[in-house]
Amino acid sequence: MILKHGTTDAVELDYEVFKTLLGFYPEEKLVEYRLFKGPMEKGSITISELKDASEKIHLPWQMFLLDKGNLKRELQNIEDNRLDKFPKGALEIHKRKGAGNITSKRIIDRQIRIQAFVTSLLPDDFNCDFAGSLKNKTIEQAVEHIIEYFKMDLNQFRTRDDTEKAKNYLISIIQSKNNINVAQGVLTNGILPEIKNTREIYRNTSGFVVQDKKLPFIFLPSEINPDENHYRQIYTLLYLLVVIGMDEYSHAIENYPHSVTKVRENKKFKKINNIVSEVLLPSSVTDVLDQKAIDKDAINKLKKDYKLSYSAVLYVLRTRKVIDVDLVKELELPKREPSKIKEAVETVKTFFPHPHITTSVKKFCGDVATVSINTAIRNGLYPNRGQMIVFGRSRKDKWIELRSRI
Amino acid sequence: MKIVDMNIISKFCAGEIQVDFSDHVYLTAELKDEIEIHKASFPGHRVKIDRIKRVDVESYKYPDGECFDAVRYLFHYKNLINKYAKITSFYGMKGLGDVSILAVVATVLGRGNPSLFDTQEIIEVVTHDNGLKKALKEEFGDRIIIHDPLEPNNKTTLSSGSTLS
Repeated sequence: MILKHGTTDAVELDYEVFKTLLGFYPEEKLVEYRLFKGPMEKGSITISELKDASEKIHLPWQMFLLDKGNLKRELQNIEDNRLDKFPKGALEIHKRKGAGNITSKRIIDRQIRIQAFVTSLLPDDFNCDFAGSLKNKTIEQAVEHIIEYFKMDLNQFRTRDDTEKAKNYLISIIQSKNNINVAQGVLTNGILPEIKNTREIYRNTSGFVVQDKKLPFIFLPSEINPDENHYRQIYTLLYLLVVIGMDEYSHAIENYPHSVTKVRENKKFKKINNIVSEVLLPSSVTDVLDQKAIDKDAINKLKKDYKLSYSAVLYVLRTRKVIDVDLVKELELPKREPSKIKEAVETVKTFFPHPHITTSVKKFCGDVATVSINTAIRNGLYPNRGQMIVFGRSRKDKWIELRSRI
Repeated sequence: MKIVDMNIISKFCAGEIQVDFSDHVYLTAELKDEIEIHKASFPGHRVKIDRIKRVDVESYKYPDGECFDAVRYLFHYKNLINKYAKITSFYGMKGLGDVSILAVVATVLGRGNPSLFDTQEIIEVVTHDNGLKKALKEEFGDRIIIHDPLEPNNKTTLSSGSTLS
């Protein structure tokens, strides 16, 4: 692979390095990205093409200049960081039924990087005392502990007409002790690469937890996944909170119970779901229900009152044996095809036409991390490092805009 | 040819050091970006930065009028980024400005034949970065002037014996 300056050959680069680097996030299929595909077929790329294409895929152009050994070391560091944060196999097992594919490792890497920076600023003895606090607790005790620990006002949560506001209420109180960070996916301001392949991947991304003794991170797909409505995000948020509380990181990537007719075998998974269900829709409510009175209207009323999705209400009723499989089958909604990514982008553009960079950064980094990053910026955080933390790449214009608002 | 590291410009702007900026200062693309960001981040430093006579390194001309060789610069950049891969970090975006300075010096000194250094050009690098100073010494020995205004003995001797402060 020849690197050119204009029309003149400058230096030979390793073709294998291109293949390895563009394959580092295999789900993104970057090797097929047009700005690389042509030059790779041709066997040469100009420096301006390389800079431009790298910018689009959010990888530093200088990485393509590394030799095999140096690149391997760089990538190994990133993989080691992942392995520190996720138990072996946890990243591979999760597949979203219907949508396919796996949770974006790029998003995971970005969140790990933000977390590493923020936790490096915390005192050595800083500790998230919620982590592991649900271990050995019964479902009832766990629910009580969650409500008390976060001073969760469930009436305030349930009486909000707008599910987004209800979700935001939970996000806010979970971060109120500054020892859990809640980050969300964004499709705006170029926080993530905006090329077709990557968009398709991000929308399949599930919620996940990046474990840490000081500051665990919860990630909610939010706007990057058009199928993740607010009801589902509320469930995901609490699910991941319980994962932290139970110290059960083999379930660090949320696996939403899609099939309500099949009750899962895994005991830990069941317990996590039972705790979440109990917080959202207490057994005291469902215990008094009679199967004969359950119809679509009743499910929809429970959905509205308790902020669970329609299918989650069915799942809860089924697992609590309030309704049987036959009724579940009768009440189940037809399976919806995953939305087209174009629709998702249009939806985001409609609802968030031009969010300010600070809004997108705050959402992607999470409230706790944003406060910490902003303080570091005020104290003179090295701009190149700051850009890598916030944007995952050099982004001079947006950094200047962000910096001016802090 | 005078090249100034970003750490010196930051300290100069903050009034922590005095640096002679009467000569033109040549900037690599990386340093140019860093300066723009610094200006935007610290509006109070704009006047001081704007007084520095900054020139893109690509517009540099040798005393005999020959232009900066951007092709050779890429050749050196690739070799140096691999040679110093252990002190650079893509994770923290550290050391890439240093590599660009090393590559500029190698390009200007190595004009014509990469193995034969042209000693006609006096190159001065002003930096407070120990890693960069070490790398410059290792790569170019005393063919260049390394100037650290924060070192008690900041006068670096040229091979010819002349000194600059």
